[in-house]
Amino acid sequence: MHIPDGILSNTVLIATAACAIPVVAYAYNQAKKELSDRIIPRSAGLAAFIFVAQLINFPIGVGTSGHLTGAFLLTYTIGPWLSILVLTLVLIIQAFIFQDGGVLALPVNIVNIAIIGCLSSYIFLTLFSRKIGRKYRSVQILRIVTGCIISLQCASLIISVEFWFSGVLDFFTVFKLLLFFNTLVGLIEGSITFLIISFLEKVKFARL
Amino acid sequence: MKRLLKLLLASIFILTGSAFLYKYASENPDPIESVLEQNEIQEKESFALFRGYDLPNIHSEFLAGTCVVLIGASLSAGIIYFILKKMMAPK
Repeated sequence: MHIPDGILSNTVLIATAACAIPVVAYAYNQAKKELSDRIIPRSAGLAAFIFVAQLINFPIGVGTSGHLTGAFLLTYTIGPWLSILVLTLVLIIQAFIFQDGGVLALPVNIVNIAIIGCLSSYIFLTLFSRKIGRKYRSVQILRIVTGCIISLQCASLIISVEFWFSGVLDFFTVFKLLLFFNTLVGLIEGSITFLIISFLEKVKFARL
Repeated sequence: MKRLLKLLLASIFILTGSAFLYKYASENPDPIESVLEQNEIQEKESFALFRGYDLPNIHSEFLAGTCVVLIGASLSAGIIYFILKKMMAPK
């Protein structure tokens, strides 16, 4: 998912920066309204977990890698706007200090992982209410795994378009590869997310 | 006992999936390498303090990998906590 420097064209980098800046600014303003003393340490704890989860990369073979994003988990637990903000900060730390994703490609990674990941998860959660999975555990597992796969596939679609616009690779070459890989990653992410959410529900974590 | 079995099955599923993904990824060549070479982008030219750690690096340099993971996790949690606290301050 983390795209390094030197792959995408300058036009794509500028276009994604133009998308990322207003969305992150809006997320900042919205998150400001939602902040409380209880949610801050929880966001920080989840950020640490997501940082570690994103460090384990599987090279996919088109200049990018597959890994857990944590966008669905964050959106489920702390809401979409705070999630975008937290994921953006995690991506900035990863790019500047740990060279995970390029510094110039940072807006691209913010759009793909933070914005698309969290907003698609939010839309999915709005469409399929939290009450659905309460009664039957299997339905809850299915809902979480599907949500994770959908959030990853939305990001795959955008990544494929970015590669195509940059003239690096054909749209379908990238999309087919990402579609296959991110479905597998989504299954793993969904299982981990379900285990974490089940645990958080037991300890009555905020927003659940 | 039933819960333990479920947890064990979930762990086996996750580990098998991860192993399969890693095996698949390591067998597939990277077509973007040539693009990177053309643009003369080298990892050592990056702005970052540490080089990226992926699964094989963590495996071979376990201690260094663990340190990087711990530093990164504490750093991200600390920075995010500080920024969110600052955001809440005007209230």
